[in-house]
Amino acid sequence: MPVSILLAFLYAPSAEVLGHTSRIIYFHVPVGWVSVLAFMVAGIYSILYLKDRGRVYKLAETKAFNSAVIGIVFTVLTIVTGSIWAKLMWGSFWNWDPRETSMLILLLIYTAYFSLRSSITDSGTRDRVSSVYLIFAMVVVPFFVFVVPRIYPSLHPDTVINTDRKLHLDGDMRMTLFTSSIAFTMLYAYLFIIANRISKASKKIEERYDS
Amino acid sequence: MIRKIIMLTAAASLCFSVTSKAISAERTEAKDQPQIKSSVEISKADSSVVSSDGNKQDKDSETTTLIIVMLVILIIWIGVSVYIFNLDRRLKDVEDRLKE
Repeated sequence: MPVSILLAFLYAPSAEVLGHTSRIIYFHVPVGWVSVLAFMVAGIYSILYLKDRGRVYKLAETKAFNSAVIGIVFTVLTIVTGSIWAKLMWGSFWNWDPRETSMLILLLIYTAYFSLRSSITDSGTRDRVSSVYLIFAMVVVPFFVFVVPRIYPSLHPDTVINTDRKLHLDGDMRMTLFTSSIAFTMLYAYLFIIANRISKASKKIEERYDS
Repeated sequence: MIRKIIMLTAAASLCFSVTSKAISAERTEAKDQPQIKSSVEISKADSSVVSSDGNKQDKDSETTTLIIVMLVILIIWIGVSVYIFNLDRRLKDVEDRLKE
């Protein structure tokens, strides 16, 4: 992470038109990527849970919940950092840009997931219903993140993944962006592992009390 | 957990200080060199608007922009730290229950 900060400020050049504000891309994009990754992981663990109801993949539903929490945190950070960049570039914090709106909708979808999960008292029903919801949400995430912003005209710069099948970034900027993405992915993995360990310990204590 | 947060924060602040020193050193060197037109100055020249203190304004806006970029990074760190503190609190609850 410190390496990515150093690369972003000292190694990567500023963009031609965007200037130094372009350095936000090395943090804003990886944070957005991690939120999408977290939601996809949550969906995968939900599928694993429903597949065997916790017989083989113990704590799968809890892991899905932990990943969704991390996803929400990073979604909020994406929206906040994106708003600051939007104020610098486009003059206002919120412009109803397709990508901004997509992230907001994702935030609402996963906020609804937490509301749903907390509203069901029976643990078995809660786990099943929330897993189904996460699977539906996982199906929707790629559509909102990758498809919608490409259908409608957007204020966001040309996407990294585009119809030319080329990365429209200079070599220095590309390397910095990838380094930052890897750093944030590792951060997500670390947070996910820690959260799961805590959940596992809590579960063991509960089982001890029950027995 | 808190030690790790402190270490991460120290590493981030070290990076910030190195970055700001490097930027100020770059500014000092740029003062001695002949002025190189930036894209902003070129666009100003095209519109035939020339200000006597245009260079100073550009540098001020650059500094402001860099500060805002650092603010964005700080916000990300604060968000991640809040989540880590939350995890730390859950861990303390688990430890307390284990002691019981």
